[in-house]
Amino acid sequence: MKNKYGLILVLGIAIAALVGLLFFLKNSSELAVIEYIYLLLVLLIVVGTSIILLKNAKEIKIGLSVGDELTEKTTWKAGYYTYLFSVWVAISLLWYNILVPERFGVPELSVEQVIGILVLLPGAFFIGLAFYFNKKGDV
Amino acid sequence: MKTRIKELRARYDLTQEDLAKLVGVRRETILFLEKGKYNPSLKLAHDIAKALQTSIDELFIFDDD
Repeated sequence: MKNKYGLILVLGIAIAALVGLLFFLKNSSELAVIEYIYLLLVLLIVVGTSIILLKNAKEIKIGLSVGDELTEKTTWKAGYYTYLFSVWVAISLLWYNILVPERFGVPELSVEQVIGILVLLPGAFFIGLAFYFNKKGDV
Repeated sequence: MKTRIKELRARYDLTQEDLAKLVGVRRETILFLEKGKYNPSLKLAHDIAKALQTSIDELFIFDDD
C-alpha cells in the first residue's frame, strides 16, 4: 500500500510537469536560452520519473518489492545531497547577480528565473543522483 | 565482507528474483549483496539466512584485517 501511494505521487508530479510544459509551449512565441534550459530540465525530470515508474510497475506486477531498505537509504542520501546542492545553487545565483552582470555586461537574473532554476535544477539533480546511487549499491 | 548467498541460492535452485521475493527486497539488492557492495541490516541478514536455511555467520564472511 505504501508503494501505491508513492507511485501515485510520482505519477502526479510527472503529469503535472508535462501539462505545465505543454501550456508553457502553447503560450510562448519565442523562447530565450534560459527557457530552453527549463524545458530540458522538465524533460529530464519527466523522463526520469517515467523510467522509475515503469520499472516499479513492472516489479510490482511480478511480485517484487520496490521500496526496500537499500532503496530507502539511497533515496534519503540522494535527498540529502540534493538539499546541499540546492543551497549551493541558491548561493551561486546570488553571487552571479552580484558579480557577473556588472563585470561582463550581461543581464541580471530575474526573480522568476531564479525561482525556476531553484525548483527545476535540484529536481533534475535528484533524479540523476538517485539513478547513480541505484547503480552503485551501498552509499 | 563476502557472502555465500550465491552458493546457497544455487543449492536451493533459487534465482535472485526468487530470493528477493522471499525476503521482500528488490532484485538489485540481492545482486549488490552477492557482490559485497552492500552491508544489509540485521533484519535482512536474518531473513536471508532463514530463507536459505542457514545462520547469519555461515552466510556472511567478515575479513578481520
